[in-house]
Amino acid sequence: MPRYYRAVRLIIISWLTLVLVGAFSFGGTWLNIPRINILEHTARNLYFHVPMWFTMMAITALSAFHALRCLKARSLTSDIRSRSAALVALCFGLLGLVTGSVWAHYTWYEGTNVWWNFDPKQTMAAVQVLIYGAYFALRGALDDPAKRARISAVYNLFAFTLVPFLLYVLPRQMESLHPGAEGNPAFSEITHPVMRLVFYPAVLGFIGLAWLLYTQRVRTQLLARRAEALDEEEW
Amino acid sequence: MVEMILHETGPTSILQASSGIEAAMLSNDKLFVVLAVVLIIWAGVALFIFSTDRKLDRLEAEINDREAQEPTAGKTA
Repeated sequence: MPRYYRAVRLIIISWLTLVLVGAFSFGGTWLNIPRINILEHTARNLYFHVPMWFTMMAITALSAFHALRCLKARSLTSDIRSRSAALVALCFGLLGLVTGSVWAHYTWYEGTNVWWNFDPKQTMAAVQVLIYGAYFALRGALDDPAKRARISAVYNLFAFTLVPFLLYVLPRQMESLHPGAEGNPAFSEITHPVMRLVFYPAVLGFIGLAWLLYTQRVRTQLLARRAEALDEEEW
Repeated sequence: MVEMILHETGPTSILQASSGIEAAMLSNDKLFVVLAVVLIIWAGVALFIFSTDRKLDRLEAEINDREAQEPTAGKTA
């Protein structure tokens, strides 16, 4: 492995550890978060639920970047990178959906026994996750590696262009309980400065974690390809 | 456990009777107990990441060796 990798890995893991400590270290006077009706302590979910989506967006960008390189350079290595990033993105998207559902159940829908209410942002995010799910269905249907790389790279670019629309533009045009929707104050207006002290580092930390997982996936896939080539040699 | 402490020290001072760490864990509605649990889980995940990296290192070394023995292999793609 590259020499810098060890250092980056150590930084990411200790960084996220500090973020976790920060996320819980409230009370008393130090980093005391405001207690808001309905939200109460669940406001801390800001440090976990929202970074899932930021991370998904960052890692889909990485996936699209490698899809583009795959098309330009006709490189199967870029295909491996693009696919690995899409898998991590899918994973973080699913985590975002599940954590959001749990959070909403105990705040917005408190006492109603509702887990899923088709809030526009929720719905669009689910559609986006399904679109990335379909990427893997598409790959599974194609046997020829070169063809699979090209077709899925084109689909990947299509999927990525939808991200800003499905996660930002459309939900903001509709009535939603999420911040920033029609009539709702945006994140920047309602979030207490003290919470940003943990929130932004949390976003960076989770993107770092996604990068670690992505790197491991890529190395696994590259190894699998080399092992396959060696096996063919032995036949 | 709480009863025991109460019994030993009297009802006035559960926190005073505890050690520093225990007092911290019981403060703020026991929030830091959750932090401890989360940190333990995170340590497990981190160890998992490290061990996967170690396995990948080993496999890469092994494949490098095998490719060195069969110079034509691994040159595809």
